[in-house]
Amino acid sequence: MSSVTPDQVLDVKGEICPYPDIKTRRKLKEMKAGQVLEVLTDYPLSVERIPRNVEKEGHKVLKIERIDGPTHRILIQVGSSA
Amino acid sequence: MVVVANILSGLVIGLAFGIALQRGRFCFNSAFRDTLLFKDYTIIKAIGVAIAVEMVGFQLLSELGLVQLYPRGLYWGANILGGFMFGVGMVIAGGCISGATYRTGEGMVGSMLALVGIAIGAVATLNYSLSPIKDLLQTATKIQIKGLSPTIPLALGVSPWVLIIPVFALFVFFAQRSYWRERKAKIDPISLFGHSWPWWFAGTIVGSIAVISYPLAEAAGRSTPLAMTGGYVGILAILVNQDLQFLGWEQAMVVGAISGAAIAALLAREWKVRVPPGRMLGQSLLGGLVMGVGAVLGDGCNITTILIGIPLLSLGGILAGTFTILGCWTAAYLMFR
Repeated sequence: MSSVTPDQVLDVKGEICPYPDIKTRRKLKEMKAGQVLEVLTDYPLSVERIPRNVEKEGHKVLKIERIDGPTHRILIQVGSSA
Repeated sequence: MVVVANILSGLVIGLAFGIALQRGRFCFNSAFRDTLLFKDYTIIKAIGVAIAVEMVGFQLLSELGLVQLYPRGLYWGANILGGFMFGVGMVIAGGCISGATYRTGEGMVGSMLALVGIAIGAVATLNYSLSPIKDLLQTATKIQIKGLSPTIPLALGVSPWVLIIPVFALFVFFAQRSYWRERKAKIDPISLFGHSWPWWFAGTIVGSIAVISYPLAEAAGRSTPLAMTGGYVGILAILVNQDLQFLGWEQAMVVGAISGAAIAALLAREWKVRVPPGRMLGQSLLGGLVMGVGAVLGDGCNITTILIGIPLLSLGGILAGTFTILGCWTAAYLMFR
């Protein structure tokens, strides 16, 4: 799984509620099915909420990885239903 | 010595409250806004659990003679306008007063500015330019029943238990149904400083802290435990006047809450100084100002109206809280849909 290279990167470090989530959702809508988005966020609530909600919207969470302290990298594959 | 004891009790309650807020991600703005934006009900369920615990706890304390319950007043015009403003303000700022408190503890600079905004907006409405508007609106729309602040049981002329027992049963029914449904999907063991606390655990802890804090706050002369606006107003007064006479239970409580959240964030490896883009800093301050004005005008921030007012079945709290939710949804719809 570590070999996955993201097609796009969304860096929302420093941003709080609900921007990381909203920007992730907007970005995923622009992308094609099967593409991978990397989200970088250091907002703890979004680290848990983004995976929960993108899965509800039909996307697949490939990986949630802690980089340093609160900073996380979330890899999401765009679902075909999107 | 009494003063020192009060400050210590405020500090200890604040520490516990701050830890629970941070670990439970207990932000009312997220709670209400997420139901609209993401159909996510996690945090609103935590608030529901806290309210259920408090409803029974507060009434028991009162029956045991440990506290005298003083629900806030009903001033419908002020409750509606202030509640709505508070709801709009928390969306602009990206957090309600408890949310901004725990995120300040996490090291979020924007949230700290929101707190500064709240203090300034509240002071302006309490003592300065906006004060006449508040007085006019609160006097013109004030309603009392038998000289008391109206609550639902008072208005209906029944014992509070007639309402508390069925409402509590309803809350427990929905909470356990939701719990078992989630439990089938995945079992999330509670970890104090790992993953955030599950909603039912966070709600129970916050509700219990509110119940425990009630007699302590009252002993220190505060009628609404865990209310934070006055705390930040007092901190501002201490800083501006360099005078510790403004230090009391409430001020110690908010300092404790920020510290508790910082400790929790450190232990969970979530502490870091984070500065958002410039535009968002301005937005946090502006949202804070709107919240501060709304909190004083409507007689309550989200803590006073929703976390404390609703379990007391206070009509003023329920009305202001309802309009806080409506304000939140309106602003969230306009800004993020």
